[in-house]
Amino acid sequence: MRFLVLAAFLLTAGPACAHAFLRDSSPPVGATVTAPPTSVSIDFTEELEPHFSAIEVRDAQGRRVDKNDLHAAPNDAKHVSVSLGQLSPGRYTVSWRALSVDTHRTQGTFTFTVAP
Amino acid sequence: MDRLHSLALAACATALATPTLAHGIAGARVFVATLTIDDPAVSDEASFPTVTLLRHGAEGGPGPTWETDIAGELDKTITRNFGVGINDGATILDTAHDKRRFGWQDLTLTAKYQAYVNAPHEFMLSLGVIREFGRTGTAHIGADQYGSTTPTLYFGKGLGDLPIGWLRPLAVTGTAGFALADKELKVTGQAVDPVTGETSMLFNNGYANRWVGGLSVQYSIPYLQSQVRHLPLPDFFARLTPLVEITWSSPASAPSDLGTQLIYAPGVIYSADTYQVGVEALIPGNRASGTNIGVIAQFHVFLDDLFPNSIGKPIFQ
Repeated sequence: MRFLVLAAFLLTAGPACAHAFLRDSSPPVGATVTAPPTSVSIDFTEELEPHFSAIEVRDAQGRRVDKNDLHAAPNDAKHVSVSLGQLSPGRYTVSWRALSVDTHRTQGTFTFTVAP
Repeated sequence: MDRLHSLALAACATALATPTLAHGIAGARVFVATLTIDDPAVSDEASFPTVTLLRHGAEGGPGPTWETDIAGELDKTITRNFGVGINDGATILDTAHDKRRFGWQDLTLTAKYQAYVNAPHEFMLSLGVIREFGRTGTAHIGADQYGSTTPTLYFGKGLGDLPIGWLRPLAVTGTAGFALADKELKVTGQAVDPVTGETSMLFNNGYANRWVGGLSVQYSIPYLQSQVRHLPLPDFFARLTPLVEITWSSPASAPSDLGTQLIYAPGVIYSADTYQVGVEALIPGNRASGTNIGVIAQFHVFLDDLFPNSIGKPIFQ
């Protein structure tokens, strides 16, 4: 019986595709940068569906400062970016929502600080 | 756009209509699958093996006994918020100056409903019922001959929504339940020790009702790295979650032949993309829980990640 169960597992196996979590970012999570970044980019652990994912960047007053132009790297669906306007010194909050290609949803928030 | 791409997008659009959550996720928080208590989530996952090593004292027996438990668990979602789990395992008892004993533990089924998830506050609440079936295990390794039914409350709370800086990766999960025994424990008489003259009570083969619960305090380094401050850590360390689990049970009815039991289980869990590995020490918190330190280790797989289109998704979307 246990071999039948194991066989059922194997026969129904699809490609493993886990939840998409933040692996790395630019600017780094929690970092203080001296030069205002022109974009925020995130490397995820899995490939995303960019049309169903989002990155929002807001300043300390809650005003959105990104250009709402989320795009994936040409040959790397794990790497997505959003462009920024001219940032003044201050603390910024990045909120992201990701939908991996196997439809798992994840989300997160981090901050970075611009201090020339 | 080629035909293959069109078909892929169509399939994707269908799939996107029912996004998958699973795991123990509440907002940005991922609650790890704890080893000695059940996590608050309803998900598709399996643990095999969970290996426990314990040493019992020699009181009243031929010598110290080494106990090895090898257990497995399979959890399956029926709907997005409702799932069932099945646990079973084997026990090997090696007693000094005695023969080795082997047997099966009682079969246990769990039905759990994930009642509430608050993403911004990283909070999760679930309700469940655990049913242990008596006489499905082997008596001579200590499997209960009568079952029990345990209504249980599960919760998980991440502290990431609090302004506490480096402590934001902390999370707490817990369970609290009431185990109703199938057969009531009763006193059947008294026995007098012929040497010491001490009297002790004799019981039938029933069980006392018990309060049962547990707590885990976990510090998620993956959360630290992705939400608070990215540190230049090797990938292995960036995937660790140090934690302490505490399990407890105490009698809820009289008479009782077993006092309050308390076990501390400090350890660490390594979270890969589709599996996790955990190891914890088992430290008795009082004399009734034993005097020797044991160890528990577990290999746990996330079926929703490994088989997202078959057994890793709810039966009814």
